[in-house]
Amino acid sequence: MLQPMTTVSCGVLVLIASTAVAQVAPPNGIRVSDVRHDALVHCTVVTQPGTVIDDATIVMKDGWIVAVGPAAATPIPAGATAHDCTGLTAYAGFIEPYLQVDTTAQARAAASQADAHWNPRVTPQVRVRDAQVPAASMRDALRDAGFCVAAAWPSTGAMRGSGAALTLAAEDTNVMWIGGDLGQVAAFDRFTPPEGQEPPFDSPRAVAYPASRMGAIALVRQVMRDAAWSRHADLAWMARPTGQEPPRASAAWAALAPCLPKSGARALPLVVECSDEHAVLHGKHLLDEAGWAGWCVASGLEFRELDAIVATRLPLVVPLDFAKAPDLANPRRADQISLRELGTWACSPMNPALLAERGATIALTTHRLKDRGDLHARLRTAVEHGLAADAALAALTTTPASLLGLGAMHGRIAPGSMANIVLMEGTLASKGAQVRRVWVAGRESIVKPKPVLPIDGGFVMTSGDRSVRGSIDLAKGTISLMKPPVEGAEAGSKAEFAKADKVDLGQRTISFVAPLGTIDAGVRVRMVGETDGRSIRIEGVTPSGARTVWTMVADATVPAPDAEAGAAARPADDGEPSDATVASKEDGATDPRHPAAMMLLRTAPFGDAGVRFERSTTGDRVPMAIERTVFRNATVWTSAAAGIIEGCDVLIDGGKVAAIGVKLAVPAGTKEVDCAGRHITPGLIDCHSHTGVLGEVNEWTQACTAEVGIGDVIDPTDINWYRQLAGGLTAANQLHGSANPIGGRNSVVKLKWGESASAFPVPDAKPGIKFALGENVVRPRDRYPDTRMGVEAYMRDRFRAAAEQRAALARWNALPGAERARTVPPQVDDELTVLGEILAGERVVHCHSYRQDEIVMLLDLADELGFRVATLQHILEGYKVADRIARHGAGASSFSDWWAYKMEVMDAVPHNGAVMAGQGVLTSFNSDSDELARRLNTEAAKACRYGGLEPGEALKFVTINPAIQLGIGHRTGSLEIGKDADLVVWTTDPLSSYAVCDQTWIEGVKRFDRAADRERRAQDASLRAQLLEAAFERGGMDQPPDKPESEGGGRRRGPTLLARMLDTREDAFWEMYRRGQDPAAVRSGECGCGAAMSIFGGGDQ
Amino acid sequence: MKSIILSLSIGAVAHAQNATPPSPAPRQVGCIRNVIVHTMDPACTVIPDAAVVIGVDGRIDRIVPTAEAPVDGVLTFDGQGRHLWPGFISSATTMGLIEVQQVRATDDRTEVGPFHPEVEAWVAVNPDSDLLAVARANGILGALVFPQGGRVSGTASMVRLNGWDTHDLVLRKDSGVIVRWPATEPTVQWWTRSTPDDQQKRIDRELREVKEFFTRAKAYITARDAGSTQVDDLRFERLRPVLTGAAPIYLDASSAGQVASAVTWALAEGFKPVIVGGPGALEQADLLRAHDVPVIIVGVHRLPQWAHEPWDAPFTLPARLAEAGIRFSIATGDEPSNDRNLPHHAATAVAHGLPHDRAVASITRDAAMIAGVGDQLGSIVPGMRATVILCSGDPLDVRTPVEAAWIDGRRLDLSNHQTRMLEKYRRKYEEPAGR
Repeated sequence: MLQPMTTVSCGVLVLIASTAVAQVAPPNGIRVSDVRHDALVHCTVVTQPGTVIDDATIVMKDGWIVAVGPAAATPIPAGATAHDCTGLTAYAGFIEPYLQVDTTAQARAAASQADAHWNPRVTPQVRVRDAQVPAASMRDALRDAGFCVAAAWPSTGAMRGSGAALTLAAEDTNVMWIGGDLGQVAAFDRFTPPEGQEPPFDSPRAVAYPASRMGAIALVRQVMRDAAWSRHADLAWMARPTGQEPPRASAAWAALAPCLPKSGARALPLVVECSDEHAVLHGKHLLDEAGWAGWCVASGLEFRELDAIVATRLPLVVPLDFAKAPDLANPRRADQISLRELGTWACSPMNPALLAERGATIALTTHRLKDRGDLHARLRTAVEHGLAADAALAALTTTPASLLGLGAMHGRIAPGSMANIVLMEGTLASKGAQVRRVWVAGRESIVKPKPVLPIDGGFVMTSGDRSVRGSIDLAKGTISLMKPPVEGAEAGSKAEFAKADKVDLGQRTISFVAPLGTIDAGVRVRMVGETDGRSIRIEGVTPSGARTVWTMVADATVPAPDAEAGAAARPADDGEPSDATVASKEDGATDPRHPAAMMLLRTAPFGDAGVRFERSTTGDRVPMAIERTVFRNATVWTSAAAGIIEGCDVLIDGGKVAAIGVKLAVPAGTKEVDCAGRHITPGLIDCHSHTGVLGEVNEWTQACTAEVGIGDVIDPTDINWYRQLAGGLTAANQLHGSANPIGGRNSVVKLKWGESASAFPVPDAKPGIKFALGENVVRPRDRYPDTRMGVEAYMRDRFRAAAEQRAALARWNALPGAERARTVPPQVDDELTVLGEILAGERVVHCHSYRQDEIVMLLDLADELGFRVATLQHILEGYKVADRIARHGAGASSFSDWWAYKMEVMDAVPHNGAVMAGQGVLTSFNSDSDELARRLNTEAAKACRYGGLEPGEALKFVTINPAIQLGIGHRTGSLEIGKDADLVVWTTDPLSSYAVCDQTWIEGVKRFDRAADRERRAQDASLRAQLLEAAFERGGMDQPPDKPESEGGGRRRGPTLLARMLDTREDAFWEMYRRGQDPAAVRSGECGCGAAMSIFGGGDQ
Repeated sequence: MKSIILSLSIGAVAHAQNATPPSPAPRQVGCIRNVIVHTMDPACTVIPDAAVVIGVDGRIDRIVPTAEAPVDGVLTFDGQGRHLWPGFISSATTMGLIEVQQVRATDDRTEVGPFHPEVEAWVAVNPDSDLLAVARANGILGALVFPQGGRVSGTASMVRLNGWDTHDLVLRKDSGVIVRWPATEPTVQWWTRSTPDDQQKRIDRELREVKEFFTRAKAYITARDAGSTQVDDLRFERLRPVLTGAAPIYLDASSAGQVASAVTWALAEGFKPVIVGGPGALEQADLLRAHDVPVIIVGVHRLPQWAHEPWDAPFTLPARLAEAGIRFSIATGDEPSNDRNLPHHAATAVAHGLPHDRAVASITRDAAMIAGVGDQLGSIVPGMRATVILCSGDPLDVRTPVEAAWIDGRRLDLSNHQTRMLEKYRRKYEEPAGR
């Protein structure tokens, strides 16, 4: 009876058979015959989402379903045991797609193998099935919730290893691993020092890598590339094993081979565990780059980046771990809670519904739930928040089955499927629904049997001439007893009930303790009894041992006990977030989805200062309007040959500058903006920013980290973007920190607040990279380089290596096809590829530098090796060697007047910018600060004050000059016809301290408007007030989190690298909090490493 | 404009640390004539075409029309119709106590331990710090210097930025004692590891400790004054003027909760509180106004603390405090090397609603009054120190350089290490090409 098994891979058959012979120990005694031939009769069967058979029979034999159908048409075969399932609904056993199994020991062992990957966080050779089978208690917890199968995954590292599916049998010997490996799991895990230890910041070793989000992404990317190379190299070598060295091998690369894309065969997926909503996008990016298949384990925060995440089409395994309401008992504590944090609380139960509604493929997981038994309560919450019940069922059955490649024999109740069945009382996700019986591979496990007693409701118990009345509630498991009427009480007065203690209602058994004043006026009486199916014979025993035998029978005349004394004074507190709203819904009242939360779901970014948007009928977001607009009668600072023009109009159309001139004639329908008395400048550009970098700004663990890129970790939700827009900033150069001589790649972005990360980068900006010289890079002790001399040698060596890699690849590529197939290809190191791009002129250098000697060193090296330094950053001694800088053609991007924060800046002068410009150096002023970036116009003014520059020339320090330095001068930085419509309307002369930015436009879209900002503020305040009120109403219902929210829980930086140090360094942040500062903010001169320095003890501020 | 600065500076000498000599004491009556005097008296009177006559004691003797200015035997400076303003005062700064932030050996800001009111700022203000000369060039002529760290950081001193030694510099040694008020609310952030309950315990402990310290100080003073044989405690001795209300107690407090907690306590103890911080002061405006508690706003150029605050909250704070009737001064809240940008903080407040007069006062007269030197500094009226700056326009605006400055009637040399380095390398570029 195994015909449908033809579709099942033969591995499964072998395995199932093998359990019978190989895994069973020799019996200690005679054999036991295990009868596995059962029929579930009179149940309602949901064979798959949307398909229901009433009064059905399911026949199972030897672990497989052999027949399903209406009772009338489905005979019970001879020899099968029938189980009456009247009143129960049968679903396919649930599948838990993401059960994390502790593989710390396996990972450690794998990392110390001879052919291990150099990085201990890369252990794809770990196989979860080599670890211990998940403990019986874990299996019990899952099975009690209705799960029959779980996919187990390794827990440790960045590339963690392969997962496998198993049945959640009660007995260890009955657990079966189903099929082969399911795929690999990866996470953007970062270095965390061992418990109680400080990080090796003084002497970073490669072993600490990666210590940043971008580093973790780069590591995964390199490993994926290496795995592909390894297979390619092996094939080439095997084609001609003589005369060439066998390629390097690694257990890690070999383990990843099943995930490599190959034509005709199904590659195994790479599963990416996500710590926040951004990680889904990062995972998608990596998968696409390598052409791998995969899916994501979501964080539960996907609703905050819904459109971009839905657009990935990646299947998602979604947790039911909803955010908890903040504790608002202290009103001053409430002042600290952002709209984003409140909205996260209010919207998180909608996450599964929103994803499903937009067509995302979702499976549900109990991962992150403290108690997996909460599944059904959470499920109900999700359904009340809009998830269709069928979608919920699919997300527990068919979807995870197909995601895990188990679709043929799991997830449905059908002949040929494994006999995994969950029987529930009440339908899935309905109130009070309970799992009653679970069958795993044809073996029954009773979860919570319904009490079998002949009485459910009023009863009377009699003993001789005494009688006591009461009521039993089988569903709730409670018993109430009526107190005898008080003498003299008027007839018909309300009966008084008392609740019995220690109630235990079993299969034909009952016991409880009768309270004072019910059976006995003076003592509590213990009761215990059994039923014959019609009445209950029950014995009462007083504390002194006096025994009375009672007979209990149903009595319909007993009134229902009122809520006060009877059922329960308060609803069961299951810690489920929406309990209050659930009750009100069942009373026929409100939708639990708060209107303010619904409103927030139409703002981007989600939360504070979010831009409101509309959705089209198809559910897609309607993009921001690009309106043809003319700005009339302004003083226009063009930052171009036209100089400053008074009484001038600017026409923008299609996101570009269309015309500039006096009294422009414009097409009909053009929007007019009266700018009389106002000034218009190009959008300001910050050539040195660390705003909007997700996670750590420095990958400080190695001297060269060219493989990491800020572009991988753009955070479009950083509130500082909005604050900077309000200061007229339209573009920024997001840079890696300055902790290493060769840092990470930069990212040139426009501040498209309200869009997702992919909209931020300027597509045709010149690719760049951050280098650094001087004090910062030699700060780690015992790391080469430790001197300015060593920095020179180190850079030279890295570039030589890059040139060699480039040459080796060119040689290999030049081989004739047949020869190439037999020649081991050079292995590609991402780091050297990036440096090679610099040598090829495809990428430019932005170098943190202060002292004149190091500046000359770098320019000499650049001239010698033939690469281009686009900007020298900070460059506070640039005035000493301006002629040398001009000769190389490097730009200079300086602080206007910062100095004295360290030894190498003691010779800084505020005239620096003007002197360099005077020597022909293309010069800009930058912020390196989340705050200063809001005021770059007055920074430019300092070039007038100290350097005597003409105002128009000074403004260029923050407009066209940085634009040219970043390779975006052809499209922005000045107001010229055909360029991007990036402009700012100022209330007065932009170089004045009194200038306030009125409007900021990027590519024809108004991204900031002071008047609209006031309205938006009022709206935000109102939403915030509504949600605070709602959260306060919930106050005390949720346990306030005793630990901070996990990464992305409303704040932009996660507890990753810094996490462990914070245990000891919390004081430093506490002091900033005490002073009213945001510890995450980047400050001038710190170059993104200031915050880290204060934690690591490298600085003492 | 550069040429103006240089023409007013006395010959540049390339030395290492602050090589600019202090200005000599005047030996005769001085007169700054032909200027528009912005007196910054309470009415903010402006006197056009005036002459300020300065006595040999360095105090302003009288202000007369230029036509009536004395000439004979008088050292005269012709302002050529430019504007004369009181010199700026940097409040709550560490000017002089630190030179290079990342060089530990140059850092005298913080004493060891939680309670050290006995350390006085003026003792360690380095008269030859380059930072002083650089700040002075932008019109910062006085500084209320704060020791840092601990719970009771030390005693603030008012200094002027001209002199040979610390005695020359100091105007008031005991300008009050600084208490860094504990945080008052638990918080849950990405960086927190301790639980709110543990945080509350910490807060309770810290509040108890600071209050106990002052209770014990009072007990000590009582015992000493009763003539008992109580042994010396320098810490408590140093608190005497604060305990009697003769000197202010500077309460470094940011949030509304901290301000309420700190002020309520100080008033109950009979102290004279000044709030140092600002953001939370507005919510407690009623309390502050009722007891005339002033605020030193620590930085207009700062970020809002929380994402849901308006982006311009720190910019508009001075205007909102002014509307609420609170006295305040403006400080940079920044490293002392950036004190030269103090007027720009005040200007930003103007751009965001603060009346201009009030903004100037916040770094002149009001700052002097809060620091307890309102009878000497902060306005140009007879009897005050002749500590003034001259410029061609609005002194707050970033584009307006300071063209001349006087402290106690002594004309200052505005050159400094930076102008000298500039001069040095200017010569490099004057050399013929192709050396």
